[in-house]
Amino acid sequence: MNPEGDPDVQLMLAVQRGDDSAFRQLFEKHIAAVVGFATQFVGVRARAEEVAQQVFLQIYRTRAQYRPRARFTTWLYRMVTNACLSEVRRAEYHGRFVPIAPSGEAEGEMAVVVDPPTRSTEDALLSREAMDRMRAALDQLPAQQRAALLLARVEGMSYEEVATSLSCSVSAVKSLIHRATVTLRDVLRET
Amino acid sequence: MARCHRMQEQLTAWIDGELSPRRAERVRTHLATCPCCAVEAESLRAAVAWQRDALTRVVAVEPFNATPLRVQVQRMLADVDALPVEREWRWWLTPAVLASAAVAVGFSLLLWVAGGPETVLVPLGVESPPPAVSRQPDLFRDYTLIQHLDALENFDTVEAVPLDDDQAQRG
Repeated sequence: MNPEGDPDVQLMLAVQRGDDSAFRQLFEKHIAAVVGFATQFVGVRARAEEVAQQVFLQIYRTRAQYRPRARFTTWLYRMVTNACLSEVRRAEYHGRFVPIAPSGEAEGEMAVVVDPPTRSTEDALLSREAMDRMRAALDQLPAQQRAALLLARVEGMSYEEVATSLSCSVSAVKSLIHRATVTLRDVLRET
Repeated sequence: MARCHRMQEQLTAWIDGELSPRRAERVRTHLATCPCCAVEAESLRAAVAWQRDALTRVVAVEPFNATPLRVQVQRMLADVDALPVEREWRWWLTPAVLASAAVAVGFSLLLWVAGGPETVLVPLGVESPPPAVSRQPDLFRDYTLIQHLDALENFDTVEAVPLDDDQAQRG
């Protein structure tokens, strides 16, 4: 895909020209996904919001350096992934990694049922349980595997885009995603 | 068995449509003849579909109110605006590179103007003095000419200075 055809790339080019409303549009469009992605690494929503905030500030500060060589999300998640992985490394170094808590429990929030309201309560609760198991299983994956899997499955990136985001080769991505998929399947099968 | 292991390593990428047509065909051919790998492929296909759905819901932030974060970022952007915009790093503009280039050019010019490397390098102690000086360092020690070496062309004359009487007699 030609990056110039990506509407977000056009918005970013507008940001580069000094259009602050374009930056607000990009922020509104991607902030929730970035916070959701970062939460899978830093565990706590508040910390994920800080990471997302830093990433958007970095985007703004380095706008002059932006070159549309890939889709905007590939570039965005390259920064998000770097921020998350260094956050994980820092937490491991200081020995205070916060595991991903089941939704809403990390900060004493009220539990929120994620399913659409059309589903029955029983289905929603079952689904909630499955989500919590998935969270726990995801938390067991090495950070690189987790990042590769989330970028491919949630952000819908191709392996090549994931490789660009993670600064590694496509064959490494192939291996990361395969191992993550098999591990999640096996862990969830056992529980 | 090893072939099956290699094939199974490719299965997730095959399900994701990320293999080249040639490799994908090889996987398809293998699956048609290997029930064990075919079962694994089906299991992985189901896992990929389920994971895609489940991970999307796990990552979805709900409910997410972006307003406080937006306000905070806008406040920080106001501070950022006060700072100079970060420009692309250009190695040829860094002060260290510019300074090194200036020194190199200046030194080359000096060598060229002085008429050769020995004229400049000997007084700096970087290069050995001419053989005439090396052979008889005592003879040249008191010569300010040697210490400041501003006229190396005079070395021929210096070398021709007759030895003192004692040395001449011993010789």
